[in-house]
Amino acid sequence: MRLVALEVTDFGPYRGTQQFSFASEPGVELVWGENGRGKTSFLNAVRWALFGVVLGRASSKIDLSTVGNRDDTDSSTVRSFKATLTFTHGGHTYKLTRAYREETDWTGAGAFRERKSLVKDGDVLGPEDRDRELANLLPEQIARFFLFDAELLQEYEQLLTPGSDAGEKLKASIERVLGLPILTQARDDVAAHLAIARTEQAKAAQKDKTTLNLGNDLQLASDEAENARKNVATLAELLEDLQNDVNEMEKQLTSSNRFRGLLATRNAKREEVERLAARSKDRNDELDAAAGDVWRVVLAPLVAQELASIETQTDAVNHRLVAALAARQAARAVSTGVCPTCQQAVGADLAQTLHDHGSAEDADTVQAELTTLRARRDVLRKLRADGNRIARLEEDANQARVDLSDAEGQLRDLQAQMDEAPAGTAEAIGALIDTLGQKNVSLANTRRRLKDSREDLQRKDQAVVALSEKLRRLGTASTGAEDRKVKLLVELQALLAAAVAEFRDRLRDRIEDEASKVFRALSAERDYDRLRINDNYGLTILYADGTEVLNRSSGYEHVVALSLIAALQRCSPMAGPIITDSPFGRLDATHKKHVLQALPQITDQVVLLVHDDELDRQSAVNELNTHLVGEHHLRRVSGRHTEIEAGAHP
Amino acid sequence: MPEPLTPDATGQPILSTARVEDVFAATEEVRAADFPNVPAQLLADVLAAERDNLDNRTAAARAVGRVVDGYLISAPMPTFGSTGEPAQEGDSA
Repeated sequence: MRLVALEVTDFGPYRGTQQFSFASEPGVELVWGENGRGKTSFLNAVRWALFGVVLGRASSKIDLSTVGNRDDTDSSTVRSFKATLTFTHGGHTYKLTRAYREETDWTGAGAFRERKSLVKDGDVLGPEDRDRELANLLPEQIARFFLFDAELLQEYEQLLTPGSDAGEKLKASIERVLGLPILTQARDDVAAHLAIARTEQAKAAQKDKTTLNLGNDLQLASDEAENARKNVATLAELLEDLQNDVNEMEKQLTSSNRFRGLLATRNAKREEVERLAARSKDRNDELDAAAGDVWRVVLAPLVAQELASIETQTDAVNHRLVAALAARQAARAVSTGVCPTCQQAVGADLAQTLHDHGSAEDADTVQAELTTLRARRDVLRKLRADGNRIARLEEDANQARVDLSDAEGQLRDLQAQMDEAPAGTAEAIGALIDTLGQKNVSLANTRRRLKDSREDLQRKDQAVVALSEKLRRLGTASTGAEDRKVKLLVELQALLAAAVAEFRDRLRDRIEDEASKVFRALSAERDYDRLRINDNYGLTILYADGTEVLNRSSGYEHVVALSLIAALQRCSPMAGPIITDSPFGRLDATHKKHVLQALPQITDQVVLLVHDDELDRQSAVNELNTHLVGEHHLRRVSGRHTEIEAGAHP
Repeated sequence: MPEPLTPDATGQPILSTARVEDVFAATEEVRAADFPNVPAQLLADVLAAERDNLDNRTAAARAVGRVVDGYLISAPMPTFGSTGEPAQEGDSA
C-alpha cells in the first residue's frame, strides 16, 4: 500500500478543507510542527480515514463530538469533520472517505453519524465489498505497526510480561500481520467439522444393532463435549467482556487522575480538619476547666516581682546565716581557747581578732528568718508554675484555632477546585472504583472457572476420540463413510496443529533474525550483540556471550520496539507506509542518527511527524540525504487553526 | 560503527519478503514429512479457503466443509491410511 494524498475538512486544528500530497518516490517525508500544532491530529486523520477511530492519551478513544474544528467564538458546538485518504494497492487506486456529520431522521431530529465510502478505480463499492476490501487491505489489528507514536512503542514492553492482557493482544496482532490466522483458523475449522463428523458417525452407528450401544455412548460423549465446548466459549467471551470493562474503567480512572488526586487530597484534608477541630475543642475544654485559676495568670507579673525580691532576700539571709554560724564557732574558740573545727589551741592575739570581728546576730534567729522566706518562695514558685501552665494551655488553644483555620481554608480551596469538575464527578469516580473492584473479583473467578472448564473439555474430548476410534476400528459397513471422514479430518487436524507450531517457530526465528539485524543497525552500544525472542514475540537484548541485558533504558525500549516493527515490515505480507508521531523523544543524538539512516530501508514510505527540539533539521537532512523526499510544516494561524503547508519552516 | 542495513541475500529490496505462499510452503513441508497420507491438493484447498475468507469466519468454515466433502465424494475409497492405524490427534484448541 502506498499513500497518495490526504484531504482533511475541519479535523482537529485543520480548519476548512486542506490537502496533503504524499511524495510519489520512495523515501522519508518530514512534517514539522510545534507542540499543539496538530501532529497527533494528522496521524489521527489517517487513522480515522482507515479505521474510524481517533486515539488520545494511553491509546484511549477520543469522543468524536470533540474532534471537529471549533470556532473561535463558540467552542461548545459539535462540529462535522471528514478525512479522505487516497492510496494505491495491488495496481488499484482507492479513495476512502470517512465523515462525521449531522443527519436528520424522518422526524426531523438531528444526530451525528459516521459515514464512509470507498471508491476503487473510479467505482463506488457497495457496503459489503467496501468492508471486505478494507479488512483485507489493512486490518485495524495491525494498524499499530504502521501508525504509531511514542506511547504505542512503549506498549511493546508488555510482550516481555507473560500473560499480560496488552501483551496477548499485541501477540495476536503480530501473528495476524504475519499470516498465521490462515493456519490457526484452518485448524479450528477442521476441528469443528471433526466434531460434527463424529456426531454423524454416532448417528450412523445407532442405526445398526451391532454398534448401537457404542453409537449411543459416542452420541452422549459428543453431546457432553459440545456442551463443555459451549461452556468454554461462553466463559471465554465473558472473560473478554470483563477484561474489556476493566481496561475501559482503568482508562477512565487514568484520565481522571488529576481529579482523583484532588479527591484524595480533599478527603485527607477533611480528616485533618476534623482532627484539628477535635484538638481545638480539647484545648478549649482544658482551658475552661482551668478558668477558676485564671487569677494566677493575672497575678503572674506581681508573683514574678515578689519572687525575685524574696529570692534576693533569701540570698542575703543565707549570707547572714553563714556569718552568724562562723561567729558562733569563733566565740566558742575564744571561750575555750581551742578551735572547735581543727582542735588546735587558739592564741591570745587570734582570740582578740576573732572577738573583734564577731557577729552580733544570733544564728538561730537568722535560720528562722530564712525558713520563713523559703516557705514564701515555695508558695510563689507554685503560683508561678500554675500561671505558666494556664498560659501554655491558652497558647495551645490559640495555636489549635489557627491550625484549624488554615486547614479549613485549604479545604475550601480544594473544594473550589473540585467544584470546577462536572457535578457528580466525585460520586462517579467513587462508584467507578467500587465497580472496578467488583469486576476484578469477577475476572479472577471467571479465569478460574475457564481453566477448570478447559480441563473438563479436554477430558470429554478424549472420551469422544476414544469412542470414535473404537467404532472406526470395528469397520462396520453402517459407519464406513462417516469413519472415513473422521479419519481424514483427524489427520488433517493433526497436520494443521503441527503446521501451526512449525510455522510459529519459523516466524519467531525469522523475526528474531531480522529484528537483530535492524537492532545492530540502530544500536550505538557495541557490547549489545543481538536480540532473543520469547514465545510472545517479546525481545530481549543479549551481549555477545549470550547473557541478557537487564533493566534496559527507556531509549533502548524504543530501539527494540522499532527493531520489531521493522522486522515485521520485512517479514509481513502486508508491508505498508509508516506514519509516526514524535518517535525520537527518548533517543539520544547517535540513536536518532541511526534511526534516520535505517528508516528508508525498513519500508519505502515513511512520514515522520516531528518538532525542532526533538530532531535537528540540518542533521535530519544530512542523514536522510537523497532519501528525504518531502518536507511540510504545520503553520499556526490561531490556537484553534493550523494550516498544512509544503516545505520546511520558512 | 553500527552494522549497515542491507538488502537480504536475494538482492531484493527489503520490503515484503514473506507472502501467504510461505504459509502454504511451510505447511506442505510438514505434510510431506509427517502426514503423507493427507492429499497435498486437499491441504492446499483448505488453506486457500481460509485465505479467501480471512475476515469472515462463518464463510471460511463453510468453505472448508465444502472442500472436505468435495474431496470425499471425488476421491476413490480408500485413499488414505494404508496401515489402518489411527492417526495421532493434535491440538484441538
